[in-house]
Amino acid sequence: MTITEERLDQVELQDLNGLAKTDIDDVLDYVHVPTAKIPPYLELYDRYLRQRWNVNDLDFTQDRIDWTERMNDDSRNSFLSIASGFHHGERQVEAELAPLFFGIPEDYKVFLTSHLEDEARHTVFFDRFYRDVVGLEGDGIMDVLDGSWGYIQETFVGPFGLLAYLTDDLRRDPYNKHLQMKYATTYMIWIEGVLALSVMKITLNYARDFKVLPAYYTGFTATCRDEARHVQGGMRFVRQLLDEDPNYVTDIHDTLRTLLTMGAARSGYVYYEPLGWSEERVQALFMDQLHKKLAMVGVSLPADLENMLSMVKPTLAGG
Amino acid sequence: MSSFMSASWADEVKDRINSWPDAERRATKLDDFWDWIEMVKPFVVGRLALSVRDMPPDCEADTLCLDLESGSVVTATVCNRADTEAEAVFLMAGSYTDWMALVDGYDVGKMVMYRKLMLEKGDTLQFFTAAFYWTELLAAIQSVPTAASDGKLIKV
Ligand SMILES: [Fe+2]
Ligand SMILES: [Fe+2]
Repeated sequence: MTITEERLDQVELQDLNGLAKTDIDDVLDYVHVPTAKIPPYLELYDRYLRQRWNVNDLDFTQDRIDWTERMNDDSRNSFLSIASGFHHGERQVEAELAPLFFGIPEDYKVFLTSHLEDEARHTVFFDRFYRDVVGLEGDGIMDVLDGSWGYIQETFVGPFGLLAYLTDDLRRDPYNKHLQMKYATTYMIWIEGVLALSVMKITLNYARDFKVLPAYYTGFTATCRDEARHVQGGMRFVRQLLDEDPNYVTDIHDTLRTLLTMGAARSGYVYYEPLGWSEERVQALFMDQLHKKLAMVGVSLPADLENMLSMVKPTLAGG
Repeated sequence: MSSFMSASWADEVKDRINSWPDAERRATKLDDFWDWIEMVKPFVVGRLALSVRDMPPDCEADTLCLDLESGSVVTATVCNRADTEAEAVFLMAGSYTDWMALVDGYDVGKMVMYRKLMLEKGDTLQFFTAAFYWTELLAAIQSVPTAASDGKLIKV
């Protein structure tokens, strides 16, 4: 077994305590496998059964101390403007998944039940973080979400509004494979595969390098490993549609064209520097993540989209 | 003050959209954002119908029709949905309660994200190519002082 294989095996097998010590970069590497090695849906489901973690096992006491005593206003603000996109993003990908169930392959349906349960757990994870660490209060999930709304970028509503409206299209016409492809491109390729994995890297690198927020690091690293399954399931589905009819690639390109057009907009600055990042580095991360997902499904970008990708302003959100 | 979904309200909405953003709104976002809106405006062409699904009885109309040319409103009228749906490129509809919440200041991003307004006609990808043009258009409508259809004050 090579060192790389050994590291990835560690990611595969760790429980919550082990994930507290796992490097986020290893978890990100764990996502990307060549097309031929994307596990079958039922194998991903089996992995879910073994990797499932209990969000209520996390103890945020030390995180609360770090938040109030060891972080300053700048780092708290930068952190919130990044994490809040996830707080809302997790809720969106949980609430918008159901219409996909109707028209997909039988084995994917089984796996998708676990995907949905993961997203509910991720939503609860952020709800706990905002209550126990940031100190927001509220009756129920939506109250706390409303409390962090002010921190998200206005451009958030681009990809997540698109997801909401495509969900509605799919609800009306769930067997339409063009719609399924547009939906999977928005949900699994862009929101999970590009936005989420990039933002995970930024906030988890920060927590690791500055040795703060241990329960956040643990829970969010576990979240990232869950995302690896969602992305791999999604890429298997996209690949399956392309095998049925290679012309569905047009739906991927058309959807990315809309996402990248919206991605060129930004309404305010995000100060990455207190977290040890710069906008250029985040932009490069986005490009790399999209190329890796497309490589998993064997799709390339036409020149106009490649050019648009290089001009994208990072949307700090995920699911 | 004009009543929601009246002809005079449509006129005020037209003027407001065509002079949007005001200085106060402009200052809340980077110039980059407004540059992006200018970039997509040439592609905003045709009729947008904004409709109320359950308009209270005895109202003049249930739908606002905006005819757009390069992102500017050329004509704004109110009518009934059945009379304009065929011609509309995009039709968005919501409940009367949600429309009243919008007029009263409910966040325009949430209006879209939580599907308080649904796209009931039109291509979703094409619509979102101009996403922030549309949310700003809703913000412009929101800024017009409006009375409810029963004459009750909603927003000043
Ligand atoms: Fe996910
Ligand atoms: Fe998630």
